[in-house]
Amino acid sequence: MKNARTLTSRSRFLSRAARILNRLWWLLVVVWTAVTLTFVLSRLIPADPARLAAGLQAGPEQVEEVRRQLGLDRPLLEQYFNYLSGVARFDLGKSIQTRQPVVDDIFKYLPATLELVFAAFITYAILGIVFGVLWARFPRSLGSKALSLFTVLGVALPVFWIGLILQVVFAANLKWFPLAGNLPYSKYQVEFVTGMGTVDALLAGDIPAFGFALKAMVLPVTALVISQFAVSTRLTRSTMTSELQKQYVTAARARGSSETRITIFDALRNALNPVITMLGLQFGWLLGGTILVEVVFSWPGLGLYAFNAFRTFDYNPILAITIVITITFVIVNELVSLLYPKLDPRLRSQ
Amino acid sequence: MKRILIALVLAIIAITVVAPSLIATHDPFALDVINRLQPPSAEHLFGTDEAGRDIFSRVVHGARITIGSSMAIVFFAALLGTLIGASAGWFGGRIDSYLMRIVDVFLAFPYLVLAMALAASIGRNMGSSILALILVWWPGYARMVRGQVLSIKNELFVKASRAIGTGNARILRWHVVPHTSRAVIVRATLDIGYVTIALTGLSFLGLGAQNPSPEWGLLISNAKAYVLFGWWYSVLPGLVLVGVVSIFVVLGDRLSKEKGR
Repeated sequence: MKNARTLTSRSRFLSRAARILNRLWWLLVVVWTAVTLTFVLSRLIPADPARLAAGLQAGPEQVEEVRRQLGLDRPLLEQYFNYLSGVARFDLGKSIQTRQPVVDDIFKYLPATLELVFAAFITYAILGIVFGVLWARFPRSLGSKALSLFTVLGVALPVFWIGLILQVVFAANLKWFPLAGNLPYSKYQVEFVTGMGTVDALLAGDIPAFGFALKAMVLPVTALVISQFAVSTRLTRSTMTSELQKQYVTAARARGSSETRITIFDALRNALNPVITMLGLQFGWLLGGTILVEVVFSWPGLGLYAFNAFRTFDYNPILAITIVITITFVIVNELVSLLYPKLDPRLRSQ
Repeated sequence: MKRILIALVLAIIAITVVAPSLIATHDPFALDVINRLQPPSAEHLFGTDEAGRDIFSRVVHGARITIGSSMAIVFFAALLGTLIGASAGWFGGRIDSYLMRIVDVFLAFPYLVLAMALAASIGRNMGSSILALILVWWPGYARMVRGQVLSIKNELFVKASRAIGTGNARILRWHVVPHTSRAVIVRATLDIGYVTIALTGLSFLGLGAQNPSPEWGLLISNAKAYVLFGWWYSVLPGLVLVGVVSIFVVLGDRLSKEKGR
C-alpha cells in the first residue's frame, strides 16, 4: 500500500517535471523565432546602422571604424551567432541612443510600464467580471442595453485615440489630471529607487508626491481599461448566460438557494475558466497597447523607450523589448493555465 | 432598416476609397499657413491643421490609404492562412504537424509587439507595416480553416463522394471551399476593423505612413502636439476612424449570427 503511494507521487512528480521542461523548450523556440525573424528582417533594410550610430557629422573612416566596433563588417552568419550567444548571456548589446547597455535600460524603464499594466489589468479584470455577471443576471435592464452598445463601440476604439481624447477633456480643459509624464522626481525630491512613481513616493514617505503619482496614472490607466473592458465583459456575460441555463442552477433554485448565492457561488465559478484564459491573452495585448499609451502620455516606461528606438533605427533595444515582452506573455499564459485546476476540480485529475 | 443603414454607410466608404476627390472639399496637400489651426467652419468642416490644410479633405483622402491597406492586409492574410490551414487539414500527418507548429509559434506572440518589431526592422514606411501585419495575421486564419477542413473531411457526404471516385481537386472545389468560405468571410469582415486599428497604431508610432501622407494614424499622431490648441484636430478624424471600424465590427457580428440559417 505504502509502496503504491510513493510510486504514484513519483510518477506525478515526473510528469509535472516533464511538463515544465516541455514549456521551457517551447519558450525557447518562441524567443528564438523572435530573435531570428527580427535579425533577418533588420539586415534586409536599406538604412545603415553603422552610419546612424556614428552620427551625421562622421566621415567615411569614422563610419568604418564604428562598423568594425559593432561587428557589422563580419559575415552575416557570424553576426547572427554572435547575436544569439549574446542573447543567451543576457547581453543584448548597447543602445545607440542612450549609450547604455540595453539590459540596464530595460531594468530602468520596465517598472514604470509594469505600474501601468498591473493597475490597468486589475481594474479591467474586476470591472469586466462584475459588469459581465450583472449583464447576464439582468439581461433586460437599461444598464445591460447600455453595456451592449458600449462594448460594441469599445472594440472599435483605438487606444491611442482614447488617450488623446482623455487628454483633451480631462487634462487640457478640465485640468483635473496632469497632461503627461509620471512622478516628477526632481520637483518632489524623491529618490529613484524602483522606477514606479507611486512606490518610490511611498518609500520616501512623501504623501503629496504619492498623490501626484496616483493622479498621473489615472488617465493612461483609464485609456487602457476602456480599450480592454469590452472583451472581458462580453466573454463573462456569454459564459455566465450559458451557465445560468444549466440544470444544476435549476436544481439549486429548487432547493431554495437565493439568486445572488447561485450567481456568485455556483455559476460564476464554472464560468470563470474561459474568462481567465482571455484575461491572460489580453495581458499580452496590454503590453503592446501600453507602448501606444506611453507615447500619448509621455510615460517614461518601456513603450516610450521603444518608440525612441523605432525613430532612430536603434535595433538592440527593439529586439530586446520584443524578447522581454514575448517572454512575459508566454510566462503569464503559462501561469494562467496552472490556475485552471485550482478553479475547476474537474481538471484536477488530468 | 438597420440593413439599409449599414449598406448606405458601406456605399459611402466605398465611394470615398475609390474616388476621394468627389467628396473632398479642398486639396488635401494645399498649404495655407495664414489659416492654420482654424476651428471647424462651413468652409473647413473639420477645421485646419498646423499648416492650414483642410482636415476634412485629408481624412477623405486618407480613407483610401487606411481602409484600402487594411483590406489588402486582410485579403492576403486570409489567402495565405487559408492555403496553409487547408493544406494542413487536408493532407494531415507530418505536413499538418509541421505547419501547425509554425502557426503555434506565431500565435504565441503578442501580435502588436511582433508587428512593431517587424515593421521597425523592415523600415518605416507603409509597405513595411502592411507586410508586418500580414505576417502576424495569417496564423489565425490557418488555424480556423484547418479546423473546418478537418471536420468536413470526415463528413459522410465527403466520404461518399470519395467512394464514388471523385478526385481531390473536385472535392476541394465543391465541398471544402463552400463550407469554409463563409467562416473566412465573416472573420475577414471583423478583421478589417481590427486591422485598421492595428495599422493606424503602427502609423501613430511613426512606423507606417510618413508625412505628408494623410493616413489616419499619422494624422492623429500629428494632432497629438496640438491637443492644447485645437481639440478638433485629434477628435474629429478619430471619430471617423471609430465610425468606420465599428461598421465593420457590427457587420461582422451580424454575419456571424446569421451563420445558423
